[in-house]
Amino acid sequence: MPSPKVASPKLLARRAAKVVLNHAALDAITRATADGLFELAKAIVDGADAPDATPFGEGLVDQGGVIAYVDRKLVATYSTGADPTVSKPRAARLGPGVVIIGGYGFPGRLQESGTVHQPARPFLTPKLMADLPEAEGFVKAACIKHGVISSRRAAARAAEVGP
Amino acid sequence: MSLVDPTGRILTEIRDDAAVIAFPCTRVRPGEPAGKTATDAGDARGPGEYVRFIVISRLGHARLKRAPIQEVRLLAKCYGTTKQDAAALAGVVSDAIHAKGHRISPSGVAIFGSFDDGGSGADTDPVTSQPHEDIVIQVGASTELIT
Repeated sequence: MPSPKVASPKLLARRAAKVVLNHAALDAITRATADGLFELAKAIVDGADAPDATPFGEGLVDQGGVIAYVDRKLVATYSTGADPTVSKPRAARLGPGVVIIGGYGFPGRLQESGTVHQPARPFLTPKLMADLPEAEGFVKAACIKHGVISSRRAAARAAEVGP
Repeated sequence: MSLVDPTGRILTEIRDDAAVIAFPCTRVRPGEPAGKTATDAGDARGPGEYVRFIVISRLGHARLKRAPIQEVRLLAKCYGTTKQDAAALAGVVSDAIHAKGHRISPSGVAIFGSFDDGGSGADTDPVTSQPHEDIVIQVGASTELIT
């Protein structure tokens, strides 16, 4: 069957439709993503088997923390220790979008990566690698919490994808 | 069959890389620096006697649930004579393994890809004050030997 020479009114209407970017929704998605990833980082820092057991005394890894930035602005901090202050590592570079930094303070990196006199005893990376595959779940939960998607729609999507 | 560790294969690739040898850095170690012997003063020396060496450690791994594949994260600590030297050595090591595709070692260790996953800039060792720069290496590998 030959194609019609004149485009159907339905098609013209679709072409003429103006697409308006919903900035409010985008902001909500960004907030939800930051919230979800912040919760993921908290789970990693809390779950890491830090070598901080007591009777070893002073000078051990004793405090972990998470810090979250959205578009270079500090939005949340979390600390596992008594001191609520969490500082951005000097080497961390902030860019646009969501940046979540989690880890343990000095001397955590010496435990994690070792020195010339002690082998690496990683305690954070194993937990990071175990939890990263679950990142989607954290972001999804945050999206539901922020009302970006409904729990019913999330459940329907999960049923479509399958276990 | 036991879980295959690709660390040795990556270490061999770095050690045998022409650019790393030409840098020159021939001291590539698993886990810890080599100690002092009757003929060698060891890798970790004091100020004024620094030598270049690389220590490869395994930070962690994650297995895929439904395929015999694992993602392994390694740490290459590249010790140099100065901070600039350490950074240059880290760059050469990065070139040796970054974006390298699939390969199978003679012993059957299959690597699908390896990437430089970033570092944190030059630092100094707390014991010897020797400058080093660390890079994290991400390796996709088979969990079984390919024979």
